[in-house]
Amino acid sequence: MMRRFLGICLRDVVLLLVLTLIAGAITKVAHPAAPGWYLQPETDEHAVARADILERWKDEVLWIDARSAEAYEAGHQPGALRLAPDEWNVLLPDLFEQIASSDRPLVVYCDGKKCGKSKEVANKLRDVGVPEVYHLLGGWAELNGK
Amino acid sequence: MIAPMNKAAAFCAVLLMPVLFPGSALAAFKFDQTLVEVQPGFGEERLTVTFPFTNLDTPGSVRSIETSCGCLSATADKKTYAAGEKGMVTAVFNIKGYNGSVERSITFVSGSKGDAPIRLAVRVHVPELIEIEPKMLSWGLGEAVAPKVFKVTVKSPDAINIKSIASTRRNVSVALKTVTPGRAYEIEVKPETTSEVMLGMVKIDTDIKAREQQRQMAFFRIDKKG
Repeated sequence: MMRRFLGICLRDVVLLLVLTLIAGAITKVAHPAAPGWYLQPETDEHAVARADILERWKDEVLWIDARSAEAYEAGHQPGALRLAPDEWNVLLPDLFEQIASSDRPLVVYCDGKKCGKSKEVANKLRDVGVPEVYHLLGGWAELNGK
Repeated sequence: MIAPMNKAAAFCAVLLMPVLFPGSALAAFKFDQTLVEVQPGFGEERLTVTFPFTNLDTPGSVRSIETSCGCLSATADKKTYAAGEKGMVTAVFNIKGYNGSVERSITFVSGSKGDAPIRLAVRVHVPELIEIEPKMLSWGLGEAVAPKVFKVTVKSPDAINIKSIASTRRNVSVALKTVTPGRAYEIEVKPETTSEVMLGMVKIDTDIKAREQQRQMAFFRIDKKG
């Protein structure tokens, strides 16, 4: 009696598991916004999403644009200062006073999800003593709604 | 009773295999190494690094190769590879303007949609032309106002002269002392007061030929910790 009961339970568990896997697989294949299975969630405490900026600081941040001069000229956040890592020594001396005396948190952005320049610039700014610096998840593509 | 249970367990195990061991199911291209570290010489602006790989399984193709910045370009030696064939991704990294450790990545995608990308990375340790020690001069809030010194050492084989220095903070004075012309300097930094928290910079103008490196920086601060 007991063995039969356990058998039924196990069968139901297996059935549920299989149905869950099928549902998950369908979602993965068919859902338009399904992320790649290999993507890891961002766990960096200095990474912020656009929604966080609006919620925590009501968008009152000092934007730092870590992209190229061409990309910046084509469009940037209002008031953004351009500070690319490969022009660090050229650009930072003229921007440092504005950055160091900012009473707003700094948020650095670059092109998109795969670009690492924003994180790099944010790390470099923290290294030289700037206290509240974050990097934006999704970068300009996220800001620009692309 | 036992046999159907075993069948069910085996069925589940098969279903779960790709979830538990995704790499084994999809990775056809195997790279010898996914991280290449390079130590360029002084003044080098362009580096070429290679990532050899083997196509382990069935014939496969390269779907896309993307880099994390415009300073890095990467291409495969061809588009499709037979099973067991060896190939290579060649990356060219323009390091002009960079200092210290820099890492840039390449995303290599093979096969059909849904295959896991392979992340390749180039880590470069760009030698600094000038070494400034310490990186930051600090005073504690209320600490005695005493001058502190940055030691500037030229690491480049060519002599580098400091043309001028300036503080970004008006109430912090800086003075340059030449220890050995073209090779070693000292910069004395003295705040007028330590009663306010502040963060500042010493701008150092040099005669380095490359525009990206002409301006060097040293930092100072007054804070609670000191």
